[in-house]
Amino acid sequence: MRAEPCIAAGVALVVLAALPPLAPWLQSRLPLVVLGQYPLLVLGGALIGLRLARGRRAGWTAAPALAGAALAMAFWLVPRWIDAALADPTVGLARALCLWLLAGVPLGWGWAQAGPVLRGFALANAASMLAVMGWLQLAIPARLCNAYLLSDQRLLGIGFLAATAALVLSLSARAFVGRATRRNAPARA
Amino acid sequence: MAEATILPRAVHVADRGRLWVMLYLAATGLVLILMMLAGLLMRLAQSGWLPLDPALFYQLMTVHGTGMVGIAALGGAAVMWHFLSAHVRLHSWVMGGNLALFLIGVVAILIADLIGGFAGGWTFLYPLPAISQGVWPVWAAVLHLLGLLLVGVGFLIWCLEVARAIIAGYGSLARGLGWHVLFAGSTRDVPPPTVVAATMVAIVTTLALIAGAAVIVMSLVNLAFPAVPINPLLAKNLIYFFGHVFINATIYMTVTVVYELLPRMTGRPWKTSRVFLAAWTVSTVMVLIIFPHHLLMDFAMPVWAAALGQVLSYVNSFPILIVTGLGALAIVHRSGLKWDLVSALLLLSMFGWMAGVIPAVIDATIAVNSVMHNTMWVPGHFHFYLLLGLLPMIFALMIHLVRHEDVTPHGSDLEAVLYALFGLGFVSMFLLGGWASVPRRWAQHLPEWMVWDQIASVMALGVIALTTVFVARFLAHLPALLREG
Repeated sequence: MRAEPCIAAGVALVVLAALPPLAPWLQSRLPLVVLGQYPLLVLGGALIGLRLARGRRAGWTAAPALAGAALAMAFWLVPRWIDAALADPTVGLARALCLWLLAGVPLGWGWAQAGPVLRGFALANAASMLAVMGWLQLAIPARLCNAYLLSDQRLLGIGFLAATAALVLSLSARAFVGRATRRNAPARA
Repeated sequence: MAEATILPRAVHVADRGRLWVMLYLAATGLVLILMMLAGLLMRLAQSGWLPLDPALFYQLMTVHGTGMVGIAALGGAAVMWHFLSAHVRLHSWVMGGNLALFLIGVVAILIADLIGGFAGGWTFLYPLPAISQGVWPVWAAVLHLLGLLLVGVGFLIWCLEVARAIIAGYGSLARGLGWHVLFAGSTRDVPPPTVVAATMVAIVTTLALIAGAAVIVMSLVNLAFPAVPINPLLAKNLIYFFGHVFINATIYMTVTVVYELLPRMTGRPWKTSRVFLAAWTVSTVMVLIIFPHHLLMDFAMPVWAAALGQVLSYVNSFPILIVTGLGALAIVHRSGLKWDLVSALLLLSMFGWMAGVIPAVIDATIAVNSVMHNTMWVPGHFHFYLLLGLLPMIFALMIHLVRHEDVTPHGSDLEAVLYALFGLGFVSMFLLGGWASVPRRWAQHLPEWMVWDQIASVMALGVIALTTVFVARFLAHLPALLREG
């Protein structure tokens, strides 16, 4: 993808996720917020981060960028802030900007800077934590978000577990298919 | 049948993480002796020869179990790295990072267990960590689990680096397992046995560690918020998937020493045949799905899962055992090999692995399991398998390095014979205790059971003495080996 289309696609995804007509529908159910709106916002930022990283080498920034992105995403997974973003438009705007710029952009940047081991670690960690999140949504007896039903919480749990399975399967498939043989090719770690 | 023949090259290039391999082996040796001494204390207590507070017994049992699993992995990682680095380019900083995380994790576990008093066993089965009846505080359970998590993170990074190197060198993990040879009949880029084994280790251990991290974090959440329950059956399945695969993979790491050294000693190559590749592929799949044999007594498990655990346990070990055991015998048979310490340890390891699996297969039979699983029979299996299968492979590499990787016979095979005799005596007492229905994990034994414990204690002294000889020999040469590196 060329530079401008890459950034344009990133902005378009954010507009799509954060503004009507799609945003109200995405915010109507908990699984749609977390597994629909959040990924669109983060992907929008990641496309821009990938573009910014093109041609720039700063491997040392990869781990901090990925860790920062993970923390930003984790913050907006706290039920209290999911509720607040729905109740207060200012917090909703802050969430959209945060997921776009503080989670998505560092994720794209860090991903581009990271070597295969760090990428693998990030994905393996994501698989573990998605499974934990899925278990939490299913195990906690009380409703976590005031704005959403317990049935939505359970559905989100199943969604997280499905995402875990999909991630592990896609990772395994990619590692098994690999690429054209390049014997003893030097590689970044 | 299309066959590819690989004669491994001698590994003597300095920049292959040699420094780290040496440090791993040194740490393995030292911790191994300490863990053996902890085991001896437990056997002496069961013998009635040493008064030991039962609370301390269970703390020692937890340290011993966790430590031995960790040290099997650390030693296995050293062996596999040493030989794999001759075939693919590995980044040695990963070895350093893994060792640092391992040591921090070990310190955390030791503090949690010996100062905090955590004694929930290496399996940390839910809900035991959270419900100690006041025996240990919550912080001790948290620290123990955090220590495990750190050790797991280190090994995850290590496995990812192994997988990266194999993909960079061979194109994919499928090619690392030799599927292009197995299924397409290709004769290009045939992976040597070490690469095949390393590929399997990277695949299964990575998946195990992902599950392990998940269940450890779940347990930590439960410790912080006891109102959030974990389904006990889910926790047990995750823990045994993680634990079984992780400890199982350690012997697949160490077996690379057999694939690499026996051919050099005999001058006969180890063939990467399609049968060999098929065996490793089949075992890669089965290792991941046989763990329900640990849950045969859990009535809530589905019957199909128990049946799967039994049937796959019968067949899981045999493919690799047959190609490796028979392969080793075929290479040695009429080769003119003159026995010495290294070759004797390698052959002993083949015996220990093959024979040590048999008690496990017997215990995996549901009808037997219902009366044998909570007896000394099961420790008999894993002590057999690790003491006489895995450890001789690690010792063989230590001695091989001390001899500057010279494979000409140097004698001293009597030490291997003595180690085998003491080791057999030691593990036999576990098996006989199991046969006599002596329960496992009991701090105090009835007088009728103590005969097995007393003989085992004497045999353990012999095992520890010989282990100290092997490790001391390696440590004595360590400064010189590091200077060479």
